[in-house]
Amino acid sequence: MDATLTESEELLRETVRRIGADLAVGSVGEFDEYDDARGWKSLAETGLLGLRLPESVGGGAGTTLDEAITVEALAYNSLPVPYLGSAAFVGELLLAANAPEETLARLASGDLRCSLGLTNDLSDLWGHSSTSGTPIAFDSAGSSAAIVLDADNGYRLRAVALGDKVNSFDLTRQNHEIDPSKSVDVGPLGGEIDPDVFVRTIARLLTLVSADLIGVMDAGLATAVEYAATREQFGVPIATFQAMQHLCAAQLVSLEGGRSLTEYAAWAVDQDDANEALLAARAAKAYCSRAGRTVTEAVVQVHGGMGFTWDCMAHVFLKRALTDAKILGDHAVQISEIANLRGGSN
Amino acid sequence: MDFKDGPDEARFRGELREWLLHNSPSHDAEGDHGEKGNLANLEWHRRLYAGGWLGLSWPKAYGGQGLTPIYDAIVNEEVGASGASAPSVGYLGRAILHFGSDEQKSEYLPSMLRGDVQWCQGFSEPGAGSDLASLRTRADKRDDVYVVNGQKVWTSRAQWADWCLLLCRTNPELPKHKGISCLVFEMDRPGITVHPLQQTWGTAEFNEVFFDNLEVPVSRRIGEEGDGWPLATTVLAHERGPADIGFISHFQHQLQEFEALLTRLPEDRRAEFAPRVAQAYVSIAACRLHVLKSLSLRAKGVAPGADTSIDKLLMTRVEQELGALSLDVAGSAPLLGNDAETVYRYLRSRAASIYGGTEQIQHSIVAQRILGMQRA
Repeated sequence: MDATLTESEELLRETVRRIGADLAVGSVGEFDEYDDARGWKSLAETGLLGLRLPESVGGGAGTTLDEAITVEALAYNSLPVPYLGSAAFVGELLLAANAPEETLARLASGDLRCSLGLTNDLSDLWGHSSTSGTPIAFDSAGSSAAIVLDADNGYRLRAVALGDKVNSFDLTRQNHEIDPSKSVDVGPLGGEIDPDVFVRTIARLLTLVSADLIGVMDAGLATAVEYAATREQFGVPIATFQAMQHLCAAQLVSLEGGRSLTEYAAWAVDQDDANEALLAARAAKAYCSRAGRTVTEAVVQVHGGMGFTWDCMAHVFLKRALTDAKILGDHAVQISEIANLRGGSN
Repeated sequence: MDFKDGPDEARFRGELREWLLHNSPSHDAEGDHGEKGNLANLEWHRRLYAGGWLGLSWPKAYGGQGLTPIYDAIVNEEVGASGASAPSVGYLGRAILHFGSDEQKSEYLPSMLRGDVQWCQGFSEPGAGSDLASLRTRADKRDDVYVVNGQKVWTSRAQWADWCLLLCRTNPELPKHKGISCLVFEMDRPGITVHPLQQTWGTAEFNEVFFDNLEVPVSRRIGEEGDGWPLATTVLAHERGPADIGFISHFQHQLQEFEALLTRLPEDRRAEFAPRVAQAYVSIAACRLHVLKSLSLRAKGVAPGADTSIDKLLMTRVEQELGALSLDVAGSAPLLGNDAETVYRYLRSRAASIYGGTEQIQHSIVAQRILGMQRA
């Protein structure tokens, strides 16, 4: 047993953080005019879009842990490129549906750019527990279509047209409304997803959002600590005050607790049985959804009045964390699911 | 990263599970937090050791098995899953292991690991709590003995302990961190008075200990004169690492009790408490997995440092979450004098943010040594 990252996993994190830093915005004002096509192309060229796909289609045959590390490292740079929604999420569903190699190859190369249809409250895949309301294509910058679960046809995938862009609270992401009645052709999307594989896939998606939250918290806390070292009051940096130190330390404790849960979930979804994997993933998502909010709220607090100005990154972290917290079910949703899962095992 | 047991770990876990089917702590002293409870804990400790399940990560030469600390974690998980708690295994001994002579290690460690000799930790004083380095208990060298005078406080289990590991000032001229040394001695020597302090739950676990011209041979000094502070830091880093003190098993044991209790509650109260029990499951998992990471680092030869403060803080959160849950689910019974065990669990959980270094001290350590925030 070894609960630490291997050297190659650590190296992957460093590498992706560097790639992310190269593609990151220089200031909050740049989010609006960001060229996500360039970012998408870079991620394709570095092999990250196909990280989990088989080598036969130009993929990296990576583990879910590799994918989680990648999601986290890109989130650390608040990258406004739809890696989570349009590469990682979609890739997992295509793999689950055994989509043909020609489709997977187009995802790895960046040619197939689709997002995933979620319920309007963002708490589930549209077509899974509910088919009411207008579905939302999550993280859909540059998407040509949305992939949805075919509600009338078991666990099958179907591509539908994007509708209007919806206003996004999260500055780093775009979302669109979708009309599930307007099917479009983006190529073959595989067949029926095995129920056991579906459980494991949900666990993977939950783990990947948790990893995004870890990246956001980590970046937010680093920014807050850096700010506290430079901002002076009473003639000294505010970082020297115990009140500031204890506030920041408590956030690191939450972050590291969430990181341990997320890393374990990422390992479990590949190695453990599907129900244990789902429990681990829901635990990670429950913890990170709550911690993501408290940590990024603390990041705003450390910045004082500055934290309420548009040009300060603090609200970028807060808004991405609040969005992630809702995706595929917030803290309360996960806790209720965990109570069911644990109750069932007694 | 690989959470799967290796072949040896899996075999060990299987054998332990089998052993635990036939062995459990005596229930005679259940709910007793005084002398009887202490004896029952010692008896369980000895049985676990005799079975080959304790002191695993200690060197073979001193009664251990020379295994990685991952095995300690396995014991904690399995003992917890069996519905028992694993006893605390000599974190004080880590000081002797790191600073003692070969002779001292051979003399003190095996009996400590076996549970045959019980130790207490003479650290805190009335004037030296969080500021431990300002301690004033004096040890003046006269020929081949130190003469000790002063007072310790919050000394857990001193009334039952056979031996004491004491921090004392051997050189008042030096700066406060430099003039401290460590002595060990039997608790039945002349010049020692133990005064138990009744705690808020009614029984006495910690004590005041007074030293009046206690004589300790110089050969009983652990390390050199002046090694006391680094030695204390070593002890505290281990005390903060939950594997050495059995916390994980204790948490899992409590979680099982809560999950069983849920099934017996009426529908409305089950709806109220099920989310809190699920939340406790999540918090325990976060703590357990973080501890596994710390233990994996130790297995790779990384000494425990400031990162153990994160373990301690996660542990504190869990302990207090469970304590609050115990109190809330019990309703009015603890307040009407009918539920001493809940009173104990709740009140004792509040001490988790004090013992082993307060939550505030841990936060300062994390901020300054991990986040790099400057001291005032």
